[in-house]
Amino acid sequence: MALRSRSRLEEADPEPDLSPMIDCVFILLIFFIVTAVFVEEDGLDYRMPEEAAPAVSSVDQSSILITVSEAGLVESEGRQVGIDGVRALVEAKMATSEEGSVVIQSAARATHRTVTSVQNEVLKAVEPEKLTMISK
Amino acid sequence: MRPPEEEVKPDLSPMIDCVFILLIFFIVTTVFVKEPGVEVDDPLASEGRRLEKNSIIFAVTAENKVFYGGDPIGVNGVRQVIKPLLLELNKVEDAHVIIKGDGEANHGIVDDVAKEARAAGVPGNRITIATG
Repeated sequence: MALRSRSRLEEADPEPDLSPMIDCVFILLIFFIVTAVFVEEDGLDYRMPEEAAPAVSSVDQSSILITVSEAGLVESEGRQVGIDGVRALVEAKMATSEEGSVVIQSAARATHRTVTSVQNEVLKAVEPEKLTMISK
Repeated sequence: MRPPEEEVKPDLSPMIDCVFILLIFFIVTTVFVKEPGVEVDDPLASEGRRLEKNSIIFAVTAENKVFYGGDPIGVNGVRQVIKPLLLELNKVEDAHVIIKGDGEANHGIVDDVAKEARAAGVPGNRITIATG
């Protein structure tokens, strides 16, 4: 008798109960919403010389050496150019030689902001592959 | 006409469909990246491009401290952080490092972090600095 009534009950409710699955899916959903970090960073390539790179003194004719001093002064070829003069300087040099490259040599205690500004100005004129960063 | 008592349970299937779509969206977009855990004032740069999401991110604060995942690790800790992470990758070329340097930090420290990253095995063209 009891058996019969149970089988009748099952026939009356053929749909499975979805609530536990929904609970489970909600927990997963909340976990992923909470852990999602949308990392959106803008940035510049930072290329350093190869380990066996020649010393800075031997920078060849077609490349430009730009130095950033501890005080934030930007110089090239013994002349003070300032951050605003960097782009024009690099463009002028690149116009004369196709294979030219740029080296930014900064003092270790120069601020990151100054060096990045100079780097940004140079990148307005040349491809990132042509720029090398040195710090000493 | 059916008596109204017969339809007491609302149909949940559309809601479940919707929740599943949300779930799949979040599963797909989630990247487990450890953030440096410190506020850093990136220098501004117009030439900056959007960097990869799945990167190893270091921060150099204005006090010249190097942070990773909320801990001050120092310049010497960079290599120890990167080495095990590189082992998890199939190709070393997939490794990508972002250095978030504060504008007031010494550039020498940022450069040291980059040198350490390269010494740990990250390819030279996969090291980037973050800008605003």
